[in-house]
Amino acid sequence: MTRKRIQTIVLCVAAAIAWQFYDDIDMRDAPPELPRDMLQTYLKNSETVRFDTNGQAKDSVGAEEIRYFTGVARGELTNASISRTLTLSESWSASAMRGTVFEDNQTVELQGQVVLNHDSNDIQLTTDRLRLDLVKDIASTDAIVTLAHHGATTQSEGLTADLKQQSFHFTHKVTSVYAPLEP
Amino acid sequence: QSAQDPIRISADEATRSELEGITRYLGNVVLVQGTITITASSLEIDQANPEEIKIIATGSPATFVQPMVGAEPAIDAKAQTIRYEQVARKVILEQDARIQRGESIIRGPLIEYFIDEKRVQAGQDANQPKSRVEVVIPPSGSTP
Repeated sequence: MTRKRIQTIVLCVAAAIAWQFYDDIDMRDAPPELPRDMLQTYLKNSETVRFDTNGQAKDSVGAEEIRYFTGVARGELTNASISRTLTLSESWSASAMRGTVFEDNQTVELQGQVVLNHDSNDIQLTTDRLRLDLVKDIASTDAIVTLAHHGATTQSEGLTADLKQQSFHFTHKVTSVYAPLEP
Repeated sequence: QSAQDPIRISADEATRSELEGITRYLGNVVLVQGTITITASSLEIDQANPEEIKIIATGSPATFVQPMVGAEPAIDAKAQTIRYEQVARKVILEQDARIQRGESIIRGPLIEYFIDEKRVQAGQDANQPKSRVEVVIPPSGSTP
């Protein structure tokens, strides 16, 4: 049997063994494939309250229904209500038809008849879409938004609000109406 | 009377500070109240005192216009800064102030216009160097 033939046989055997070995590793590492968008967790009439290091309630995320799905790192809210406590005497709250709480548990996006109230003065903000940062107390939207404040209303396309500083920046096409002073 | 009309404002953008009670409008600002129209590049509405809304318009220039109403001649006023005091029914024009009422024109550093009394008062701006007041009255026979 010629030397060349022996080399070929040896190579084939080595390749077979390597392939088999490679096949096993491949099988062992792959996590089982989860079906995406399958309902994983369902909460009915729930409210999640978080506390700060002093034991003070700092924010709460409530909803008639919350759904968490496999493979999707966020929860879908129905009839959502969010509230944030800034100080003992100052807080704000928001409600909407739908909402999404993101994986970081810091960002919440509200959609559909969004109403936000700042509970230490008579400010009320209404829009169709609003993104809330529960840590920085920043609200923002690019939708049409209306702010009612002290007998006046201001509307614009787009807004960014610092709810802690109670500062509202209207970004485009601003119109305001101030009620006349009492005679 | 304009005082009983709502104030309507439009602008490119605005910022409201609820803690100060002030809203600042920027870019192509137009304020309308009844027959009064103010235009400016920026305008501030101060509601800190609920009894009195203070309005300060600035521009290059800011303008205050009231059209002719009945026999009353039109008012066309300009200045770097226009202060509109609703309760006092007074407009204060500061810096390069000019007011035209009908055919007569007054220029000066500081002009006060009393809306209901249709009275104009020109004087010096304490914060500015003294400068002349100029009055142009049309020859008799032409409409005032």
